[in-house]
Amino acid sequence: MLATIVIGVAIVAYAGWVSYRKYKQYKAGQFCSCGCSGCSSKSSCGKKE
Amino acid sequence: MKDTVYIGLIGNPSCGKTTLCNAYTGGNRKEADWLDKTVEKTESIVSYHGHTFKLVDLPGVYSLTAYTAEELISRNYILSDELDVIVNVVDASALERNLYLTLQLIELGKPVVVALNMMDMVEERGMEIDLHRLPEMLGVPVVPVSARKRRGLDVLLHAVAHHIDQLEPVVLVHDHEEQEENSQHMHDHHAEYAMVYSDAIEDKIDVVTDILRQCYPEMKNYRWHALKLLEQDLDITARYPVDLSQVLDCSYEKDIINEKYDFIEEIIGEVLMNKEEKAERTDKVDAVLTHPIWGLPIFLGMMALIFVVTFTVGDWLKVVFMEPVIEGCSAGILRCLLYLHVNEIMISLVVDGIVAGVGTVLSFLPNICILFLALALLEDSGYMARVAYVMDDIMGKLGLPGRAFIPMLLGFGCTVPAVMAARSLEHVRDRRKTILITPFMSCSARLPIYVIFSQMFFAKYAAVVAFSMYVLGIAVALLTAFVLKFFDGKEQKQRALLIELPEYKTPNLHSILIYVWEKMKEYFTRVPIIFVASLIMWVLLNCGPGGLAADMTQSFGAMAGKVLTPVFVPIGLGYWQIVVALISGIAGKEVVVSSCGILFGINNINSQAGMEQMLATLSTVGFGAVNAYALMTFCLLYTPCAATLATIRRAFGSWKWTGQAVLFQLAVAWLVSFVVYHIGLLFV
Repeated sequence: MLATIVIGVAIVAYAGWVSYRKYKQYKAGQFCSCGCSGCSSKSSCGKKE
Repeated sequence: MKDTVYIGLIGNPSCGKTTLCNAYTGGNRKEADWLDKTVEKTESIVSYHGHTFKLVDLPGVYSLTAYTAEELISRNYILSDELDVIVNVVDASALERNLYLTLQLIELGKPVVVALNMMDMVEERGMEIDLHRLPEMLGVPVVPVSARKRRGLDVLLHAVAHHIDQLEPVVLVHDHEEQEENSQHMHDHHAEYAMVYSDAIEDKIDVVTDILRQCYPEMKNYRWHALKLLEQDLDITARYPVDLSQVLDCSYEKDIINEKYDFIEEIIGEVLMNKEEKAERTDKVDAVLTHPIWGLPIFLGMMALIFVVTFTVGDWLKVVFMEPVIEGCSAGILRCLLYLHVNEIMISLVVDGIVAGVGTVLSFLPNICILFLALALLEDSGYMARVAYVMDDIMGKLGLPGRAFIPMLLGFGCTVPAVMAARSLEHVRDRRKTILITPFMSCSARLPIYVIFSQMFFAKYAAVVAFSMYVLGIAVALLTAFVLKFFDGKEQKQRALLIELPEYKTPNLHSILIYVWEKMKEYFTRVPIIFVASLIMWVLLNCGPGGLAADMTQSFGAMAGKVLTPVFVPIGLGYWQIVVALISGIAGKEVVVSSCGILFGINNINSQAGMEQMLATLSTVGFGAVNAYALMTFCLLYTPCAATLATIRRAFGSWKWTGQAVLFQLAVAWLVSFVVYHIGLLFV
């Protein structure tokens, strides 16, 4: 039972952390997923035309 | 010396700025300026002899006019007080073209050091550059380097450190006795500036300079501002309004450009020895690869070859390496959970939900690796730049500039940077249209969908079927642009495609390996998203209105899928599991495959056994090859992933436009899938 609770909590905590981090990145205008460290969206793509 | 020295790396596209930056930092960014990928500046830090240098990699530009976003970004940064030294990276093998920007940079009045890159290529081509005369004519230090071979890097930083406060020309030796004798100038400008204009222009510069001195006593570099006012530069004219009606009867931009090129010709005549005839290997190869008729079929042929290799070699790697690893991990985790007496619902969540989802996506790693390896080879060899050139005519007929194909090409990798690259297009209308059609290009996240469904239903023709998806994507994008052309209204004048066609060269292994490694790392960084998506999917498929659902058909996921199923019946996708998988694909297109694994209860859907199990399950509900092809088509064209939607929203700056784009893409996806499905049924 203890193992079930620990694993459950770990999964929920990790999923929550991933979602929170993605949300923060989105708010900062960083949502590149191309993998290029030089991709401009990594620094900011929040600039409107 | 300051604690941190800011160095602005600037040069023409493909001159090797990023390679130079990587050579200093040991970084692994990929040089891809032919795609104008560096739309914004990026920074790296280097330590040298106890000093810290901040290298600022600026977008590749041909000049410092303010016509494009890249030019404006570069110019504004260079003019800012933050920058200490400009390092002008010059492709020594194309000196004539690169020197135009060099002259403009020298005129800015900031310390400039010229990094004469690609000296190895100059040597290979049997040319010689007079490294004594060139700095004499430019009045700035010139350091020969080879970023690829990491030569001359220390000397360059040494030169930078020594010229931080060097605002006046170091040594300026002109050979203009004749001109000086005839000149009526009150000043001997040849002793002050590298670039000296004709008497007529110099007189105008002097007058404008005097006016500026009176109006803006705090201004730095009057000469450069005077030149910009004579060119009627919009940005500078707006920032420094002065009455020049007595001096400025017309724009002197053309004259200034022509005189710069005259000086460049003079420099080339003096410093470049054994200048080769250009009609050599590159031109001969270009005659075939950029042929107006054969150019496009050759491009499609190359892409077909890439897919054959991606499927055959990728499949072999998958069977030999990935399957044993994933199956081993899955079995190991299950054993651990059983050993710990974990609740069976939790075991199902971990094994059938998370491990199945994440494992499925990771199993495509070899295919993705081969795809990017092949694309990197094409890019590094210098071929990819030709594709945009080949497409220029076609794009023009579709009412788009040739430059619009560049974001579309980027879309083969990831749609996010592709949409961002579209921002560099000149006209808003072109930008919107390109952003609308770019997601139709098949990004790498869609590859797992093609791999699974084409291998399951088309066996030995799998590579051909997957390749057809890429062709279909391009065709739909171009057709859409053609249709939209009729809603454009008044036709606007398109700028000619100005693109660097680099010399063909043997791909650099180091550069390619770091590029592929970067892509692989990126693939791994998507694991957390797949983790969360798999978790949500499991919860939705195992929970219903009455709590835990014993039967998946009673779950929330099934209920949502069943509501939308009627919409998908006409396109052969009237199965609630498929509908749910498609919805989950908004998190990331590869999630469609992992969701299928969870939905159909298959642990490793990408294994031979997994595919057979999936095929058997789908066959029992009447899902055949035509349905599979319609599904791939819909996945190719429907709403892109959340990250892309966010990028589109930023680019449009409006939720209304984004919403319309989503609806438009859904409509196109539905319509094309409908046509494909019903044509397919005729052959079954």
